[in-house]
Amino acid sequence: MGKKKGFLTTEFYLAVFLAAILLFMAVAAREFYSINNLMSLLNSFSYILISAIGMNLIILTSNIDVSAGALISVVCLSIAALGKQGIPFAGLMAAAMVIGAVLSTLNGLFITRLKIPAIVATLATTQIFQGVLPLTVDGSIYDLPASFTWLAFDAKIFGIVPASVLICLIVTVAALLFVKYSRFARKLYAIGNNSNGARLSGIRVDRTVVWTYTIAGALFGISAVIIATAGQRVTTTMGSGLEMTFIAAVVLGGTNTAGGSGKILGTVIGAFILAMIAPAINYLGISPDWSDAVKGAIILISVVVGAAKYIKKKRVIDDPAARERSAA
Amino acid sequence: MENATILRLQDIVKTFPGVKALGGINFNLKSGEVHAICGENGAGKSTLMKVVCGVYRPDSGSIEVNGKKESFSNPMEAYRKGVSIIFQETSLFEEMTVLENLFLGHEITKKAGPFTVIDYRAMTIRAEEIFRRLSTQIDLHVQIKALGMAQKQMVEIAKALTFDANIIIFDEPTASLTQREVTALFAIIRSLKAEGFGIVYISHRMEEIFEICDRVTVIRDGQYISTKFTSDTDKDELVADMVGRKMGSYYPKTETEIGDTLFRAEHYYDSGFVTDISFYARRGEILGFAGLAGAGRTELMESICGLAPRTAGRLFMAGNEIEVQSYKDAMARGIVYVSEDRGKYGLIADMSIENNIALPQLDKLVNKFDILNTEREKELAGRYMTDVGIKAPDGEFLVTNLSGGNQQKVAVSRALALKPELLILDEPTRGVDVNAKAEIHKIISGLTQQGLTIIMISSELPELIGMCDRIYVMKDGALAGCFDRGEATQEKILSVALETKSAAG
Repeated sequence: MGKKKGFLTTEFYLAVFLAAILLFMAVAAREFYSINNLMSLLNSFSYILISAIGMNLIILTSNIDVSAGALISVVCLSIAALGKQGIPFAGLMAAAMVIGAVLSTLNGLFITRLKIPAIVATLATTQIFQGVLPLTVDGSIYDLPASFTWLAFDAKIFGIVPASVLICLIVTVAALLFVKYSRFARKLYAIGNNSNGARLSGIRVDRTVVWTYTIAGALFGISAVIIATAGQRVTTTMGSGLEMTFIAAVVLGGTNTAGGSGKILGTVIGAFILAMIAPAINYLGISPDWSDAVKGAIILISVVVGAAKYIKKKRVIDDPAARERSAA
Repeated sequence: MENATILRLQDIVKTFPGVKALGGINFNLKSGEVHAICGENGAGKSTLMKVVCGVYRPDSGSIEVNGKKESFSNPMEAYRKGVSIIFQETSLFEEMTVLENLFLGHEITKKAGPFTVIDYRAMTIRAEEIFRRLSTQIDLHVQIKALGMAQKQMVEIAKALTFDANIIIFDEPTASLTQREVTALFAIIRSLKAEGFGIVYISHRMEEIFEICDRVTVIRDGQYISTKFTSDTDKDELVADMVGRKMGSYYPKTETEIGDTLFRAEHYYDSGFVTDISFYARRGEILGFAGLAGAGRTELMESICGLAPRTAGRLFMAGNEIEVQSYKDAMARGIVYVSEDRGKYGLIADMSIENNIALPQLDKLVNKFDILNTEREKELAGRYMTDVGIKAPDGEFLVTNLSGGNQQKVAVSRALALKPELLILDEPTRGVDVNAKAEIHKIISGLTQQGLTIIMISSELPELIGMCDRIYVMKDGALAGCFDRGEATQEKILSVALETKSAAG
């Protein structure tokens, strides 16, 4: 929202960082740019970004959702069960969005109605989501029909680009516009920035937060479709651990976890960087065991750089002595 | 009796950006003395004490503690040098035990082989000895949150004693105590006094000052006014010192035509504090609400606006009963509230002026796809920015970068943009400089000429007397009096607001 910052924004630095990696890969491991790799990278980028956008909305309100991964597992398995009956893609997509939205709304209600801190509420639902899966399914649902894997195998744009990229593009463009121009997004920023101030502006804070979870849940559902339909077997742990990647993409993109600031564009770049790390490491001939550690290091560095800016800003306001010195 | 002076403040000056909070205060405290500091809300009592114990650094002037010049940079340093302060809101840690709180930051330690560890035994012995001195029994291992207000205060006092402090500052210690607890507290203060402690007692309860204190220093608007022996003075004289004789003519109240009753509250109760309030406001009227901090004025207004629950009572707008469940309902009925703490509650600091002004009525600025019409937003904000006279380069300027006075104008603009009939302003001029204050007063006067009704809460009596057509005085959550413009004086209002709390407590 700050207009006069010029182009030296978080997004700009991130984009430079991304370009540097891409350039490095071009020199160090040319095979990275093989069509196959690029397409699979785009596919994982798609599902990471769609969910990260949902996570971004939640974090804007200064809440969080650590149950996203488990929720995606539940949705994956649910649509697999439907897909087994031969239900076509459109039906699967609709079901996934509804199931995701409903489960995520539960999170929102726990947080606002029962006043449970978001991290605790969603930790608990993570356990519940993960816990019910083995009770209903024995390990996995397999031998899924071709109608189920239509998105991954048949729906290619120009016969080559995965259709998930198109879905991601639609979601992203909608989100960019939505966050910049909609009333709802304006409320999110207000709530994250100063929830009491929002209340005094007549915003129904709790209701808005619940809706945010609902929307994010629908987006998690879309990601779940992309993940689940990639193969003929859907296991009970397809989404495990993904929540950390989503949160990381948001944080890497410059959104403050305290809420109230941050842009979708940053999350787009953050998601791309995270989607790229595993294949990049693979093509550089480094053991894939390193990829999580590298992800962690990148996040840590970006957060420290961001926090340094933040702390400096905060000092001036909070410390009366410093205020006097700067006034003098 | 020739007791040594243990605390001497000389010409303490402290300014905050745009405000002179303290303008040359002198104060001295002898050992074995209880010395009161009194003054109206905002006179600078608390600021002065924060300067003494190192929360703020004075711009000039000297602080002498036990004969040595000192300049503390934080309260811990002050504690170690013998000055301890017991704040209004206790600064104890609720989840920790009494013992842990007593020695927090200066735990007694011992060597256990190569490690330095906390010596709980030594701490317990020391704590027991202190509580024996205070003739109080408190379980050392219970969490603070399990204690009552009076016990918490006892722990605070004990904490002061763990530092070997010989100067103890009490900041409105009786504010939340019952009568019996007050009696017990006074017994302890007397025994501390007999032991040779010097005690600074901040209060505006006249009865207490005359009961427990030896001398009393009055400050007003950050200025030192007088120091007297309590035996040589009386309540009227102190009140006169507190309010002074000046009465600014800089409140540009313009006479307006006062119409019929616009708003009425009948037997109104909020969820526990505000009790049986009935009042009315007429069209074009500026209605003042006076009272001490904590008298319930803000609580009443928040509840009326649907920001806090109501338990009983009825509200009427232009003769019709209204139902207010949420702030949105209040706004729909033409009631708009501007909060006292604009930083914390009012505005969204990291949003632009435009965004802030438009925030309460985004509903009117969107199309059916929820997309905001930023042109109309700009237009809406721009109109009020010029009307109210916000000094900023443009509407996209962030609120956080504005001065206090201009932030307040944004808050007022935001309220006006809602086209209210009844505008409730809570401390509209707190923390803004003199010029901005005058401008805000002018704006308020101008609004009533357009037929608006204004309720104004203020702790500055001259402001209320200068601006208001009628002034209600609140005390302990209830209405204690009402004065018309002609008859209101600071003395009258203050003596109603200060009336002794009923001994029932």
